[in-house]
Amino acid sequence: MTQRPTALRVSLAVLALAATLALGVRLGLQLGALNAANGDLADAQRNAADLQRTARQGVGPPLFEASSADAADVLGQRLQALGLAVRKTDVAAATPAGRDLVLTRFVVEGRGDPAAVDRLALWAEANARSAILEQLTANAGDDGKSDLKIELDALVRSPPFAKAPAS
Amino acid sequence: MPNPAETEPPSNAPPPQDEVFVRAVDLPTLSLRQARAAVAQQLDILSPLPPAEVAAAVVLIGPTEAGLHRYAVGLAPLRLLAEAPAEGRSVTLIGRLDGEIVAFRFDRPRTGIGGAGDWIEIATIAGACLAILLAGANLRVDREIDAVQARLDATDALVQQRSHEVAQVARVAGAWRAAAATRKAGLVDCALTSLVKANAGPVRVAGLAMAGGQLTARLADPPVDPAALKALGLAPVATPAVQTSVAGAPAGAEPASAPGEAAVPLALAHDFQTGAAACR
Repeated sequence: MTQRPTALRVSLAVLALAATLALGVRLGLQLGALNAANGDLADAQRNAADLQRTARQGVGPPLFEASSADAADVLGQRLQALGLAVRKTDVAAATPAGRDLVLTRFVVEGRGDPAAVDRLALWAEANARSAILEQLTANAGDDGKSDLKIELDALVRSPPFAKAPAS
Repeated sequence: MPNPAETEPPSNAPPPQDEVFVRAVDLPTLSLRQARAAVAQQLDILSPLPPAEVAAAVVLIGPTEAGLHRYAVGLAPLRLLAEAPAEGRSVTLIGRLDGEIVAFRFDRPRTGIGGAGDWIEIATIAGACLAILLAGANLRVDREIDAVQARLDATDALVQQRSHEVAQVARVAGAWRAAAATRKAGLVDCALTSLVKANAGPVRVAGLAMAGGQLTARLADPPVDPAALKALGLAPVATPAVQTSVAGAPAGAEPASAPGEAAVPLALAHDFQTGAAACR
């Protein structure tokens, strides 16, 4: 074993001890900081998951799924299935309402007999979580059918990667 | 003066036998420590063996004529010292200088772990190794903290984004619930059914308007039993609810005013109004 002066050996020993202690203390502090950061990360992830769950709930279930360009056509088809003759369907407003949901106000003009109007009302009532019949105006004509103007608020799910309609 | 114990072997020692290589060195000092240092510096010259393999012991013989001091330098192989019988920390070997027997006392070479110095060195090495390990762990944990912090920042940004989304959804949901509570589509069905019930048969409806949770129906003909209508929640209104023409109605029934202007009470008896709470 290499012989060194005692003072040098003791100095080296003290130096090694001091370095070990300092590094040990620093490691302890680092581990404390790491634990704290991991705790914060877990809290943040839990918070993000809760928020995602809340956001996914949205306002309500969608009435149908369609891109913003197709929504008016899809609603028109639904109303035609109820016996209404749809002349025009416009989207008056659209408001984001959670994940992929859009609260859309449709303004529809068409014609229909009282039974179709009743079916429309019952259909809107049955889909009350997804649609609100905001306004309905029916003016009876000579043929027993009425000119209709409907304002309907509906939740529409827009596919995140909806393809543009083919031209 | 030389120590007699060092120049003469003990009286009960075994017969003298040359065990070391002896040389004479003349030095100007009387200090044994200085003499040992001088010999140590010239060990490669004095020793017939490689200096790393020999141990040296110095014994003062006496003054020389030139005013120097003569020392006997005993050189023994370390192997010999290690194999010598244990007598504490030193080994005494016999040498001969100019026919005179000289006893040299050598320090026993250390073959194992002994003294506090050794332990200090061992502790120093262990401490240094531990320090290296701790330094590595420090770096590793540093990187780990950076990675966790980066993930935490990303998650915080996500939380912030989702908080905005949730706030927007909550705002829209509040408005939606408020509207849903007052705009009941079933009111149309209820009102039409009530009109049929009150008329005890089919009824001609000239117009229908529903807005703000209130429904106004304009009958084409006066009601048969207004009291029955009222009992079913359909109350006559003083203002016309529909602005457009009524089928079969006289031209005078057409509202003369534009929408939003003051209503003309021309068809008071034909207009009935109900709400979700009143309709039965």
